[in-house]
Parts: sequence; C-alpha cells; structure tokens
Amino acid sequence: MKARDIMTTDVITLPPDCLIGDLVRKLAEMKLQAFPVVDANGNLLGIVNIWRLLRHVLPPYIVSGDLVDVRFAPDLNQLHERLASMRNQPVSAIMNRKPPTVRPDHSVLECAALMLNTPKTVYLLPVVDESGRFLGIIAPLDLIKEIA
Amino acid sequence: MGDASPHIIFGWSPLILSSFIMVVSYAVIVSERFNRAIVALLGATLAVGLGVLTQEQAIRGVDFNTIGLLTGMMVLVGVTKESGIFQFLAIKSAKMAKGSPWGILVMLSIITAVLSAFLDNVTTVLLVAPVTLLIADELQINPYPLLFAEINASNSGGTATLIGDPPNIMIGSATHLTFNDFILHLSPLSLVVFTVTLVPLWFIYGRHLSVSPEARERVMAFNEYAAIRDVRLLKQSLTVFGLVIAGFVLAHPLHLEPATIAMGGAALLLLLVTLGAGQEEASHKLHEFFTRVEWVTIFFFIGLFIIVAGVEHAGLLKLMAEWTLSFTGGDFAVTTMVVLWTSAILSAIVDNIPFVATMIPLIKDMLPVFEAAGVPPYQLEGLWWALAAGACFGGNGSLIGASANLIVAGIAERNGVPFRFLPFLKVAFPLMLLQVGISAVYVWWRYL
Repeated sequence: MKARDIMTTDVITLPPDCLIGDLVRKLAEMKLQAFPVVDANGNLLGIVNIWRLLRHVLPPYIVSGDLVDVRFAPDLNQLHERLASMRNQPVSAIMNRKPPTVRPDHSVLECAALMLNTPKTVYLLPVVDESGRFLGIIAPLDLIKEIA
Repeated sequence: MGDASPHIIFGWSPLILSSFIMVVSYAVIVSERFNRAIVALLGATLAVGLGVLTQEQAIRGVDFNTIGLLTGMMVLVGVTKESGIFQFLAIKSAKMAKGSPWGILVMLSIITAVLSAFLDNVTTVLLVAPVTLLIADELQINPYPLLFAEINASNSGGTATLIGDPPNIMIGSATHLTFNDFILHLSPLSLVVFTVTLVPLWFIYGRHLSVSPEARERVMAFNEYAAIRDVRLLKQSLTVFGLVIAGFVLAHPLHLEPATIAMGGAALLLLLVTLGAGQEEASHKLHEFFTRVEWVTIFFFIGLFIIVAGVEHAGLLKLMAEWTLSFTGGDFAVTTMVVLWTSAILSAIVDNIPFVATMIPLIKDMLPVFEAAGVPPYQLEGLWWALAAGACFGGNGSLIGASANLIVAGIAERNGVPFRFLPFLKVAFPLMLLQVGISAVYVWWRYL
C-alpha cells in the first residue's frame, strides 16, 4: 500500500497571506490542529499548526525550555500582548517552511517511520509530487485506519 | 611499581615537555575552539603517554576530594531543584521588593549570592536567570541590569564559602583550611564587596529603572507557593542539605573531608527519593539524577590535575615560585598583593580553574620560604585568601571570566537580550577593579 492510497485529498488549505487572527479562528471553529499553506498554483509552501503558533506566542525562555514550570504565574500580560501584535501578521511568518513531506509512491511503512521519527509536533504529512505540487495529507489516523 | 620513575620519550627534558603540554593545552582551552574537557584529557594523556608522569603518579595528582565534593554537590542540587525551591526563593524575593525594579534587582542579587555561596554558580544562574526574564517582561523593563547584577552576585557570593566556587573548593582541598575558615575569612569580604558593588550599580542602572503600578501588581500577583512542585522532596532535600552544611561546619572535629560529606549527602538524598519506589522506577530515577552531574566539568578537572601534576613533578612550579619570589624580593606583603592582582586580572581573561590549579602547588612551594623568614601561620593564610579572592572576583571582570557569566549571556541572547563582550567589559572590568581593591585593603588590614 502506498501514500496515495491512504492520503486525504479533500483538504482545507490556507493561502500564505492568510492572517494569523483568521488562522486562530479557523483552528477553533474547525477543531483542526494544522493547515497546509499552499500558493495560488497549488504548490506547498509550508505547514502551520497550533504548536508553531504557540511557539511564537509564548516567551522564548519558555519555548527554549529555560523556564519549564510557570505555575506560579497566574497570567502573563505579555502573552495577550504578543497574541494581539501577531493577529495581523500572515501565516507565512510562522509556518514551517520545510516540513517533512512524502511522495505518492512512498510506502505506508515509510510514512509511519517518518511520522514517528520527526518531532512530536509534526503530525500531518503533506504528500507532494516531484515539482512540489500539493496532492493531499496523511494524518496519523490514516496510517492505521486499515486495521479497523 | 607505584613509585616507578617515568620513562620520558627520547630522553627529552621533562621540564620542557611538561611545560609545553601545559602551555599548549591552556592556549587551546583559552581559544575555545575545542571542548575544554577534551583538551585537558588529551593533555593528560600526553603527559602520561610521553613519560612525564607514570599512570600512578597521574592518578595521585588528581585531587579526588575536589572531584568528590563537586560531584556530590551536583547530585544534591540536581535532585533538590526538582522541588521548585529555587524558583520559590526567586519569586518570593521579587515580591518582598514590592515590585520595585531596583528592589527586585537587589533582592534577586541577594538570592543569587546566597545560593551561589552554597551551590555551584552555573546551577544558580540557570535557575534564577529565566525567572528574571519573566519578571522583567512583566515589569516591562530591560532585563539586562538585573542579569548583570546577578552575574556579579553569583561570583561574589561564590567567594564566600569553601563550596561556593571551584577555586575555593580546590584551595580548601589542597590546604588545611576548613569550611569554617572560609566563612570566617572570606564571607565578611564577600559581604562587603557585594554591598559596595550595589552603589555603582545603582548609579549605572538602578536610578534609570521605573515601572508602572500595573506592572508592579502583575509581579505581586505571582504565587510563589505554586512554584513548589513536590513538598515531600522539598522536605527531604532541605533535611539533607541541612545535614551536609552541618557536616561541613563540623568536618574538622569529625575528621571528615568535604568530599565524604557531599558524597554522603548525595547518597542519602538518593536513598530517600527512591524509597518506596519500585525497582524499575528507582533505577530510572537514579539514572536521571546521575545525568545531572556535569561530567564535562568533572573530566576537565581530572585532566587538568594531571597536566599540573606533570609540571609539578618536572619542577616547573618550583622554578616559577623562585621567579615570583625573586620578582617580589621575597617580601610577603608584596607577594600576597601580586598573587591577588595577578589572580584577578588573569581570571578575568582566562578560566580561573586552570590558573588556580597551577597556583596552588606554586604557593605551596613558596610557603616554606616565608615560614623560614618568620611569617606567622595566620599571616601565611592571607596568601590563600588573596588567591581565592583574586580568582573569584576576577571572574566578574569580563564576559568570559566565569562559566556563570557565559551561561547568563547565553540565556539572555536566546531571549533577544544582547550580551556583548565589550559593553559588558566597560562596566564589569572597573567594577572588578573596585572589588579587588576592596579585597586588597581587606587582606592588607587582616593579614599583612
């Protein structure tokens, strides 16, 4: 079985100039956690997910792991300020420009291995053709649907 | 076998070969092109491999009291920090300053100094600096002055005790000076230096700091008690820490070396935290806690001790001691001042650990000369305090003067707060000169 057999092709994508404020709204409304960012010609530009957004909203000393436990702080003013300041930026500013991708003829095993061995925050594998055109995505559930 | 003479390669002069190994190793360490532990271990390997030392002599050259004390304390701190106590102290101190930025700078500096006196400086700043960034963010002020003050505090606080800074650990281990001696002789100096340094810091940074009432309230809303993650671990850690400090204080009458006390404390705390855990969980926890030991530092020390043992055996340090004495005319007061100022200036430029490791046997070679000249033992100790004060305060002189400085700079840079060498030097070097000046007056007044 190959990537093309399990990938989802009916995917909601975002243009690179979509604003982060709209991204947050879409994430909340659709209860999705990631979107492929695709240009007008259908080429994959990157992936934006909820973790990328959080990484940009949280202060760097928390993201870097220098300060892991912040339970003593009931709220952080700067969090609201940072979110507010980001609202009008395009998603292209925070998207992962080099996400791991697979080709349609990659085996399911290869897809599973790639997904497992990339950072935990990557859980959408875009499928692209040789020219970088976006064809679909593979989510973790797609890998094991067969069992059901 | 143990006392067999080494067979030096090609019959070369051990003096020249060992000096060459030391100079090249130190030069490469200073260049920071390669990890210092690797360089020290390679230097040590060359010292043994080329026949400057036998393996037995090399092993005898390693001060296992220093190694044991460092390792034991690293385990103790590695376990204790999981309780959240250090964050608690940092936030509590900030709140005690009622959110005033200068008050917070002073309180965080005090906490950093006190923690550095009992913990390793790098660990202290790793715990305090990130909380500082968060507090500065909430206060909407530039964190640089707070971080700068913490660097100063960590080196000044570390000067206060035998366990505060690696130079002191080495000096304490190589001499008869006890934990209490360090408290009696260096803590007052450390306190004066710390306090006096706050005056220029106020003029340079403090008077420009201001925050809005809302920002103060945000910091006052922090709940320091929520920082305590594990009350049971906190109680265990504080009990063991208390026992270890009591052990250091009573070490002399108990005939115990600091390494035994620190290692004993580490073993006891590890036993307590794994009590009641299943075998697999206990093993997992132990594995995790042992990874907290900074093995790079430990192996750096081991390599360094062997390199220094090489030059010591070959007689270089005796020669250097003779040169120093001829330079100072054999005058004890002049020699003490030379040791103080040289230690400070060199420690500001290079790593103070290799410097102190070399100076200890050198000073030991000079002591008999002063003893013979009738300098009383109490005054002789002044030479060790001069070395300790110079090496520790010297660390404040530049960004590369101490590991803690670089750690703070690294954290700051990662968070968009530039910490550049020259701007730091411009403020830090004169401050260091002030601190060493105070030390000179102190040493002169008490020992000369």
